[in-house]
Amino acid sequence: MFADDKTDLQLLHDHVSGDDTAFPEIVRRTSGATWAVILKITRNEEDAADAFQETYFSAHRAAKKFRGDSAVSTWIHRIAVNAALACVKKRQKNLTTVLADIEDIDVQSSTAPRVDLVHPSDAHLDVSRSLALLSHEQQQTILLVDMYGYTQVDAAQILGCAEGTIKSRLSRGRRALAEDLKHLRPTIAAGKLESFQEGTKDE
Amino acid sequence: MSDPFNADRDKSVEPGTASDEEFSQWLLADYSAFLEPDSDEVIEPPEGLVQLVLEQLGSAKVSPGDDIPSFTERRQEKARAPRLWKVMALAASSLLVVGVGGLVVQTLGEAGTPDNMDVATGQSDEVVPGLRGDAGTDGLDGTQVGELPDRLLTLKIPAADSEETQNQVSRIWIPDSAATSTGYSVVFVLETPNGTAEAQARASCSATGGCVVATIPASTGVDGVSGRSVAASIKLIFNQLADFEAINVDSAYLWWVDSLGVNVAEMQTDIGGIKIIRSLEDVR
Repeated sequence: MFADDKTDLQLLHDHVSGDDTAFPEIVRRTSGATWAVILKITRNEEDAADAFQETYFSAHRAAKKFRGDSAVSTWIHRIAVNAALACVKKRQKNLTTVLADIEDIDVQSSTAPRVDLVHPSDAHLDVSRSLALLSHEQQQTILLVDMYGYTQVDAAQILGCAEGTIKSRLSRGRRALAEDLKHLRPTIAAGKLESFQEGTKDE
Repeated sequence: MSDPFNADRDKSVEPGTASDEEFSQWLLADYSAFLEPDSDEVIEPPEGLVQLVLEQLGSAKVSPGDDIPSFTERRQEKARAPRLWKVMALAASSLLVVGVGGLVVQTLGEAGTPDNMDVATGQSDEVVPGLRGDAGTDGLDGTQVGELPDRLLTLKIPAADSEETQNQVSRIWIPDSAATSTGYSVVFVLETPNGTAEAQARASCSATGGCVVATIPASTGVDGVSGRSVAASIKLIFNQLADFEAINVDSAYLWWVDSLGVNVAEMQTDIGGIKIIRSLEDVR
């Protein structure tokens, strides 16, 4: 059977079994979608390229542990989200350091964006940044439960911790996100975010 | 697997008045939908990126269950091997800054280790051969950097005020050793007539590895004689360096010494995140 005829899962199994041609085929099949989601999060090609590489290195490394409870493409998608958020976190950290060095900041002017000036397209970027700034543990927990729909019991099992820890991380992480993103409440309430999504799909 | 967020959406949570938890969940549900792969949303990565990844995976020569170098480890490798690429990126980026920041890579000359510095461009008053990267036209241009094993990058800093006619130059010396996993530290030294402090800093960074040495132009007086203070010059230089992944922005130092390379007794407080040190041994 040619590689083209195999499913993603078959290819992953072949890769784990030592077939050197299998993983490259997975990369080729998923690279477009992976690049798209990473670009959505990082918003720049330099970071995206790093996250792209990290995605496939991680997938290559973790293939043996893949449990098969989702499609291979979904699994890679999630790895890509993680990798992209890690890049955003790094960039954010660097930016914060540089900004802290700038003396001539007019402290009288608020840096918080005015609600009526929040472009809907910025909202998702804000969410990326806020997610990236959470602790690694909180971020992973929130991704698993709030974005990927795992139960808290499953998340506890995956992350190897007590369910109470998951509850605590979720609570603190959600609170931190809500505080960090409170400027978006009016925007979202007005439905502008929804209209943005529809707009991008039309593009 | 269930998707609790679709269910949550059906509850018609009102984001404007929702509790923090509900608001956060709503946001994440929306964000998740935003990231959801869409069949018509496939964007081909830049040409060569997929091939690069495949080559890297192929060169790892590992079984799928084995560990291949982590991203951090590969960063270290990147810092070791393709330093050429890194410096070229630095040069390209700095050139990009010309229009907005006023800094420009003027020359790109070979630096060498402190024991082998006589190949860089020099000025007539140079005491340590080759230590001075001249801001004139003697230096090599960026296209020639591929031939160089070690490198010295000079950043041209525009005059601070209209009365200044001479541009100032900071030299960024990059050692021929791998950065630590967190990147290169940065050691700033004041430019002195004989280059002693700079040479010592390079020797230290060459021995310990993992740090770059940046000079603060000599005409920058401690009291701002040139119109720009030491702190302002450091900030200008550091803001350029901070853009590069190989630079550890949390690890920058100013080694404050006199013209003979002797520690100055009276220390100032740290400058804008740049830690002032009395000994190069304090560089981490």
